[in-house]
Amino acid sequence: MSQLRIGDINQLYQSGVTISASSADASFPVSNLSKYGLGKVWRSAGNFIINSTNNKIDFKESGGGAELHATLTSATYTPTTLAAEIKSALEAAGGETYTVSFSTTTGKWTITTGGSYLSLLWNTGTNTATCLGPSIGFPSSGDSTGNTTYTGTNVALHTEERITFDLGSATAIDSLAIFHDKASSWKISGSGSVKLQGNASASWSSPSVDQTLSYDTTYKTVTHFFSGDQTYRYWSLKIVDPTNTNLYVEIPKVFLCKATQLTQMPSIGFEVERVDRSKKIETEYGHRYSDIYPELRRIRFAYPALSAADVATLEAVWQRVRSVVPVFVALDPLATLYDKDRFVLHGYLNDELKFTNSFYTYFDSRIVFEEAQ
Amino acid sequence: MTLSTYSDYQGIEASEKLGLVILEAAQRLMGWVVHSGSVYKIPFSYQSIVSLEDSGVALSEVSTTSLSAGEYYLDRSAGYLYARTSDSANPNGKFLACVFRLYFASGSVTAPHDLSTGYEVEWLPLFKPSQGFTSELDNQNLLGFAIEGSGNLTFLNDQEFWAPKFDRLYFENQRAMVYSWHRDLAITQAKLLFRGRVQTKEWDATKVRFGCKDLMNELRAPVPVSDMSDYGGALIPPSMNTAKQRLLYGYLKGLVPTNITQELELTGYTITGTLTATSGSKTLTGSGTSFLAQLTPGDELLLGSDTTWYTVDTVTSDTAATLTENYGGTTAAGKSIRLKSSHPKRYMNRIHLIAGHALKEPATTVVYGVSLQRLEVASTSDFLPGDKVLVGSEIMTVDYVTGAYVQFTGTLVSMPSVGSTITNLSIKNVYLNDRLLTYSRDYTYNAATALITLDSTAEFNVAPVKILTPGTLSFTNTSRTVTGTSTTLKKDVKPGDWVRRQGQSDWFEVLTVDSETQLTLRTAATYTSSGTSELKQPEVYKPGSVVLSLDCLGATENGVKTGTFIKTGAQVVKDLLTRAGLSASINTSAFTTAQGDSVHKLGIALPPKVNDTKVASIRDVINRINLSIFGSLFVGEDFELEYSILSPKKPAGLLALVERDVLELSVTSDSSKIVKTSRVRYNRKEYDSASGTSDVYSEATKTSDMTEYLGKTTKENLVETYLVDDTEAQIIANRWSFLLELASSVVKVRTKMQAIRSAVNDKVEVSHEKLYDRLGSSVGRKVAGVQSISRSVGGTELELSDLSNAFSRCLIIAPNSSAEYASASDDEKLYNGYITDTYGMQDNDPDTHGTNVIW
Repeated sequence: MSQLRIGDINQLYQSGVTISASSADASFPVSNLSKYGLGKVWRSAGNFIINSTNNKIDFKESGGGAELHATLTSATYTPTTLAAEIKSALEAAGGETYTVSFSTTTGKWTITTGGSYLSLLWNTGTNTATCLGPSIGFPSSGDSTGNTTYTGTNVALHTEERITFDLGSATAIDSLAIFHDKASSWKISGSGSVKLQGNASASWSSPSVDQTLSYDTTYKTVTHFFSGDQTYRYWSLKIVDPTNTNLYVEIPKVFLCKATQLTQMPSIGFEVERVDRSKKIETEYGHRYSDIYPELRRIRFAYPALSAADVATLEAVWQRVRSVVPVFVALDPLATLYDKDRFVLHGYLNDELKFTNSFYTYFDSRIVFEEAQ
Repeated sequence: MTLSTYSDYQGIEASEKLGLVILEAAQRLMGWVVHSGSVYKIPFSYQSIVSLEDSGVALSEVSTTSLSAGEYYLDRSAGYLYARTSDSANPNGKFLACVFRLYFASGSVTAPHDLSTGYEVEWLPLFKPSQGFTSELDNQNLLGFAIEGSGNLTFLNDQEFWAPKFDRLYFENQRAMVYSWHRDLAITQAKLLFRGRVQTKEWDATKVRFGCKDLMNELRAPVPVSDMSDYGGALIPPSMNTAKQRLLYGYLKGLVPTNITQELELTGYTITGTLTATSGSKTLTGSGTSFLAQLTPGDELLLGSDTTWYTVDTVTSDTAATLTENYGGTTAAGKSIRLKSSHPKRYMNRIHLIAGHALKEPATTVVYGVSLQRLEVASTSDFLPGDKVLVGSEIMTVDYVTGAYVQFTGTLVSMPSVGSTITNLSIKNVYLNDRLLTYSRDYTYNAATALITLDSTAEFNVAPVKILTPGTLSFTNTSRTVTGTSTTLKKDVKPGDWVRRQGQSDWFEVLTVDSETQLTLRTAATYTSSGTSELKQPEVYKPGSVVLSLDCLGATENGVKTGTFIKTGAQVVKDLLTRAGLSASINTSAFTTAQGDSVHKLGIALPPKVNDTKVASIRDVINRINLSIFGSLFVGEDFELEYSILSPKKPAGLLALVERDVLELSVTSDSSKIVKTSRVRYNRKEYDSASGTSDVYSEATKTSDMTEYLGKTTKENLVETYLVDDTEAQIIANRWSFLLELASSVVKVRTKMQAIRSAVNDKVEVSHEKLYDRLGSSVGRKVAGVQSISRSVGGTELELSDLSNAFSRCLIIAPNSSAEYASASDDEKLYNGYITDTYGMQDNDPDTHGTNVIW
């Protein structure tokens, strides 16, 4: 074991930190990420970035007619505003009236002409390389022909979603951890991607930090531990998962911090407990009934002979969070002995921190982390 | 494990048990700003709107910000509410009341807001589901008393959430729903545990609590009936304005209707025509008037817009009369005439309102004339022995009804044609004091308007004929003057009396008694004759001095006279609930079943006395119905209002609880209700014409041998009922005696999820080694009815009442295939009734004594 990191200063819980998102379901706003409970999540509502790489629609309004080219204005759209923009672009380029819609129940786009003929040339059009089709669920491997209404083959929820954290000033970060409720699941699909990005400005075209994150299916968490401090004002989670079958992407509890470390590692013999909070009751005849509640973990670390500096550090941690502000703890984050996620825990410090004088200026102490929802 | 239905979940011993709560809150929305034109908007963070009202008028929800008047749009994503008031005015100047929903759970839950396929919301994990929600039936006080279901919604006090809402939002009387759910179940399978309204709220540092009552609480409101002041055109004194237009059900006896054509203290009674009065003159000249019929010397008149009353001195013709003093008002023609009479007038007080709704008027058609005493009719529904029916113009009395035939007590004069209508009169046995009136001659009625109109000669027709003594009278054809010989007319005759020469047919009403030997008639004599004469002194109806009473039929389900007659307890309860605005919460199927079980005829007047200004609560009325027919109203499993009649039916789909289901078991027995004699009051008459007294009841009694000889008690139990039939009342008295001759046991059972789908009035079999024997029951087993159920997210507590072991003691008709008692299994003995021997035992087993009781 090389390190024990205590994530006690989650930047998302700090005042002066601004959190914003490219979109949000009104029931799951991005402000949820500054709340403590794991159930407080952010959900996307659809975000489309249209630029010169995906702003063309080649189409025909008659069988033998000329190929028409619609160009969308480069901008960022919601599904509703993008539908209006597509309609406007088609009608500007052609002579018919179009209906464009996004279904929140299927996640698919539909384009309908008011005329008698429509071919959408995603594959054979002049601008295939920059056509809108893939962005709205129409693969460029084929044209849409033979009908007057077309619904995309794929779910198309966004081109990308992004949560941005403005820390107010350049701030050192060395750890990221994402936890979800035990009753829930990681809502990013296997084909989706999540990146942690950091930059001095809120420009994300080539950020200084651009780290792909992965979900640990064994320990049900996402972590990334930098070996050194990354000091930037702006941080961002970029999510690209347009075909997510949930019809949204969801980011649960995010910890972004510079973790606290003591100079001394805990002694050998740390304890990991699993506590079943279920309640059991029995009949007089011994039949048992149980109300199941989550199993939660508890980790106890013993520190023999802490130095004065470490005692001060530990007291500072305690005073910051006591037993009321969630922290995360990561034992061996650099994976020298264990999987980096094996002893990662989201929870609270126990409601008591005790130092016992060992000798001279050294103190023995125990620190207990209890997992929380 | 795959969970498809709530029953699957209910059956597993170990499971995560989640409680979901929808709590509604109301708020007046202000701070609107213009969005565009007359469309205003306001930041709005709640996810689901139940209603948005503009000064009590609901706005319609649409899905665009382009609103027409009376519409609103909730943009959930943007967190804005857009509204356009019904008159497009600025909503800040109006009262926009919004009811919206808050969502809670006992754990972290993200689920559709509508527990169906709607958009998902976060159900905040603040709900503490430890407490149960109780539905209860007061069987300990014996049957049918519906007690409000109640429970507390307790939430963790998250200051950030509750502090800005607890007192700023209006939670009082708002709806709350509590569901039980498991994550593996489809959200549509969430089971409703409680639905009610917030009555109280509490706050402390760690929790927020809302006390809730269920639908039954809404039955504490008075029965909704209109005031008499709401009846258009009623001539009633101000003191009667808050009297009620009565609500009648079933078969009413001795009902006193409300007189709505009264002479009023301040404004008198407007009589026919107008007149000319001249200032400084006593002479009145009428136009279109009927002075001779309507005026009497001594009457007081108020003319036109005058404020001074004048006294009538003489009446000389239909258009000529004089006052006792000169008229002091302004000379004019066309003055209206209001009168305060010196004695009751037979043209006043004629119209009476029986109820505030149409009365049932059963009718059928003749299919075949079997005889002049017996007709085959299309339907005999609502025809009963003793009914007065109109066949053509003949009034007949029904002797009995059998199949499609109606038999009369008398004989028709002529055979009605096939297809002609037979009407069962809504109103019969109409009395003025103790004088029975005759339909058509003395009164008419309109079942649709519930009005009865007395004929101006009704009192005269039923007045007895006396010989005028002493002396004789001389009548002169065409003369209004009658001369007496040796008469004392001042003492013996008064204006309004009628006289005729003995042997003559025509009677004449007396206008004035001029002297001991002279009368003036209102109309001229039609013969010349002298000698012994006859006198009628009708007691002309006047409120307070003469009582008009009648028997009638009550309301129908659809409010028209031809509608379905509301005559059984279940029908009445359903109608009361409908009138209370609870029709959407009625379990129609349960009421239909109960109607089949409840054949007892009832008579209910609400309020019970004419001119009552207060009416009982719906709950009180239903409770009395319950006592009358062993009915019970309760909130069922689906939180709909259900009705049930206690009956010894073989239970279907019985929930069986055995040892392994029972976490705790206890039995208590209350013998304080045991009585020797059960008395049942029934057949209430608001006014009994025979005795001349009000509020008269009949009574049926039953004394129990068991309590008389074993219990040695002399206690009696009196039950006031709405029953009207002698036989039915005796049956009910017998049943009360049966239920009150043994102590009723209450079995308290605590279970986990096994009984969570039970509802009050369900029958449950408890089988437990620790149960004791009772008469007619199997060892360690008992069938009992649920009188109370408390459901929580994690379990259920039941109180089961055996109603004096009724479920085991009553004879139940068992199928032919049932085994003989001697060879019957424990199950069969528990569920089936068995015919006993002469001594009330089965197979000479003394433990079976008392099991054969016909319910």
